[in-house]
Amino acid sequence: MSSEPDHRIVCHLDRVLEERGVTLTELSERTGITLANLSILKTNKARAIRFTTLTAICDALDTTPADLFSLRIG
Amino acid sequence: MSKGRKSGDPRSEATRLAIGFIRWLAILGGVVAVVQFVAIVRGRSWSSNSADPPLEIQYLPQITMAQPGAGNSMTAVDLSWWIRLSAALPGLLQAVLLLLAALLLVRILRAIAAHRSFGPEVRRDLSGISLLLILGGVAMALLDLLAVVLLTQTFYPLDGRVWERFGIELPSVPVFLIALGFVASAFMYAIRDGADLEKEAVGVV
Repeated sequence: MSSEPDHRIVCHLDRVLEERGVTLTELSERTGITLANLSILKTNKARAIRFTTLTAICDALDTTPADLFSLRIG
Repeated sequence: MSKGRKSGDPRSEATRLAIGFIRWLAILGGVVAVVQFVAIVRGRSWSSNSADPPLEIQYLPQITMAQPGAGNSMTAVDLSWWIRLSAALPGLLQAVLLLLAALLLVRILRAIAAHRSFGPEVRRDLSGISLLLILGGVAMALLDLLAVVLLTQTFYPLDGRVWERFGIELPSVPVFLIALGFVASAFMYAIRDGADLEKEAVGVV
């Protein structure tokens, strides 16, 4: 996996988790998504996300994709 | 992304059994092939309680039938050693090809058991099996052709007093082996496509 992403999407999962006082482990238990995958997402190493994964995270954290992701300018 | 091998994993158990089976089959096949090769080249079969008796002509792989006429005591020992060698080589080559293919297959099965089904080593070994079986199959056909030519030159034209009935096979082409080689080649391309898909899936959550 290359270190430089070929996209400008930024994931704010760490901020959303902190706002709701949820740990990554708890999120993994709630959603059934592996800790490894959530960690990849949180550290902005993900290249793509499945809609099922996105839905599960949004439901578990009562948030929306717009809160979780933004587009880096430039 | 490679995954570790888990103990008690059904895939590991199935692989272990398959590898064991392939090993024993290869060893047994190899021993039989070597014994047969040596017997044909010597022109003698094996005996435990007397001198090794000469091999009947009809036991040469290329001979379909060889019924000697009255008074004809010709055996394989009476043939030149290079004719016996040419008759024995296709069988030995087949055994060597299958042994080498079995070794590569064992490596492939180990990689699959370790969840590295699309790794470069699997593609490389499949390519090896493909080349072995296709080129080896062609070599076997050529060697068999040589043996048939030499035997035909030796025995024909037939003397009806020497041989009541006699027949030589047409040169055989190991179509099944060669076809298996092409099958291995097709699998290699499928594995390559799988590797590309696996690479695409890296980083997808």
